[in-house]
Amino acid sequence: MRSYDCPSCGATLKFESSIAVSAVCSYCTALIVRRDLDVESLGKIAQLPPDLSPLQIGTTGNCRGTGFRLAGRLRWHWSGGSWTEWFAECTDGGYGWLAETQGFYTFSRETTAHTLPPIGLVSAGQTPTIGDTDWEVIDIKEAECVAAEGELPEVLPPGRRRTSADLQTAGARFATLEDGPNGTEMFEGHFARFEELSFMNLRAVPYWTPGVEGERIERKASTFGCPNCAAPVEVRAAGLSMSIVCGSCGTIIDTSDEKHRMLENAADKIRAVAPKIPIGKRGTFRGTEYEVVGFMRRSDGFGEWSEYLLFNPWHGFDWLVSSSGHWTFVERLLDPPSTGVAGVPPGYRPFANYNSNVVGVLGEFYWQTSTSELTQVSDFVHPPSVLSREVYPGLAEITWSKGDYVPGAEVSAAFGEGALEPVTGTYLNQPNPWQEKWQRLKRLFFVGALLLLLVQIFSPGGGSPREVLKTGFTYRKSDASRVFSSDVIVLDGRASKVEIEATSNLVNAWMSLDFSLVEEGTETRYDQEIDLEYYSGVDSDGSWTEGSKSKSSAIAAVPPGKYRLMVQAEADPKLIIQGFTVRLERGGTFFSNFILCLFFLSIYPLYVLMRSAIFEQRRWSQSDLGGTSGAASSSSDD
Amino acid sequence: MQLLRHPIYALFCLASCGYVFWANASGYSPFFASRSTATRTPGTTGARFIHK
Repeated sequence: MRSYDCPSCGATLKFESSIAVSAVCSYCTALIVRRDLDVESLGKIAQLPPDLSPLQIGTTGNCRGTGFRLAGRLRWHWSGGSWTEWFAECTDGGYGWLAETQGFYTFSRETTAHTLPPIGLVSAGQTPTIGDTDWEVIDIKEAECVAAEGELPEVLPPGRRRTSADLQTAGARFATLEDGPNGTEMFEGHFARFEELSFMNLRAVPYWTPGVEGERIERKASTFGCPNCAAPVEVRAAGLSMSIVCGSCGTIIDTSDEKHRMLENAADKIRAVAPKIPIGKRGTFRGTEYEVVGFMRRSDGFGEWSEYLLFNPWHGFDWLVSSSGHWTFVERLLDPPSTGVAGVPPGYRPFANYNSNVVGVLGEFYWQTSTSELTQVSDFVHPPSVLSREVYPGLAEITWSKGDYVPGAEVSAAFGEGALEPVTGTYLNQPNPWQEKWQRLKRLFFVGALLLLLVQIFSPGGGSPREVLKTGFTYRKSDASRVFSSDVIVLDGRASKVEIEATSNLVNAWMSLDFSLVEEGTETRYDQEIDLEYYSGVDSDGSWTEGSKSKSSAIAAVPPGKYRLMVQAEADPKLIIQGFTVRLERGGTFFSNFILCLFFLSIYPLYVLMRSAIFEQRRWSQSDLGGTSGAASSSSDD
Repeated sequence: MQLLRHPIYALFCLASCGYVFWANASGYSPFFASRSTATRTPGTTGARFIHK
């Protein structure tokens, strides 16, 4: 570390970084350049406006194995907003840039290994191949350095302008092309969230970090007067907020710098909305404390829904979307899903394509919002998740976000009962409760059915049936009674099934046989009836037959004992004499018991599956891609 | 775990298995009723049937 006297104010100026060539005097904000043993002032540079960034000079972190320490920062401003870039001195002796924007970070380091296109030939939407990587240019902008703090690896005089193009590709990889003094420069790295960067030595965030006594550090004034009506306007996500709606007059104000210029008058758009969760409401949702900083009412032409922008200084921005009482928690994806040739993320089904426009707006946003903002949205569902691909006409930027269905109780626990509204209809990513029930039930059903089958196979009485009688009788029309009796049959063992099989060589005739199995001692009768009929012939379609010459029927639970089989025969009047045989089998089991129980076991699972199918039918009836009606993914809210 | 999530259905499964076990052991089926009717009429059986 080397110390100098500030040539502007005389204060001691320390260069802790060996890489830094310039620094901003913390007392007089003069930009000081060091040259060998001497230093020179390039004039004063603006201080950074107060913000809620948890980072400070001296914060250390690690991005995918590269350790760094933040030594200084720059504030860049362009026509659509502003962002902060931190000079990160890396532990390997080099340096990188940590950009802080929209609630997430990009960490990148200069790479000189590739041949780069002139920045003037790069435009948004292009997909250049640089090195071995296919990149997508997500935006291109001309920015001006408006403020600086701490040490810097280059000399950036106040007002320095540069053109840069941001690129992204799979794996959350990020790159920036910039016009440098020696042509195009490339900085390559990754998108990252706060949690991924292992930050240490963070600063206390005003109004968020608990103080020593557990009280919030007082919020520094982030309030200014509306340029239209002079009403006080409070910025809740200072440093990240790029526009805010004046709650009094509805003017949308640019908050990307301290000029606070008017962007649009949206008075009619703020009268139209009344958020269920008020702006400024805080709540702990899924372990993170959020503050509601923005609210949008959107429409796709068929229905409306509400979007609440949540902010946490460490976690960044997330969304809570409410439609017809259904809630979805939405996070922006820094690593877009692979979509393949069909453009559909694996595991998801396309649900709807629609244009979303703004119906009402309140609060602040991390972009410069407009009431004429139009977004082309494609939704892909895999309940309880939904992936949304958003395209902004006029911009080449494509963003992906992932939403997860949230029970209303979870929202009310975080933000109060007032957030809730009656739930109606079936929502696109609403979990199917009947499908979940089936998932929990199916294993039990299959185990139960298998157990039932095993019991059927291995239970007593399941042995092979054995023949106990086989005899023949002759029916004669001339006999008066036509009643026949078998010899005595001894049935032993436990009570079991007896099956009677009757066979007669009928030709275009019928025969009706009434059987009675009579126990000799008690004369208890077990009756059964078998009707035989067999017809055949030839017609224009060829030969045909109908009926059967042999049939069987069973008697259940016949106890052991000595029996006779009595048969009373009736037959077709044209039959004069007709022989028939009777066969009795003892033992075996009825398969009908198994079938009956399987049927009853299946009733509830079938009911669950039927309700599940009805639920899905209702879900997809709202889809313009997978359903039958043409409505888009949202439905009427209130 | 499955038993705990659907205790009534699990009991129903077990009861069904018990029923099948009992029905098979006793040769019973509700679709093939034994029609067990005590029609003891001493002295008449032989008259009603003619032995082959």
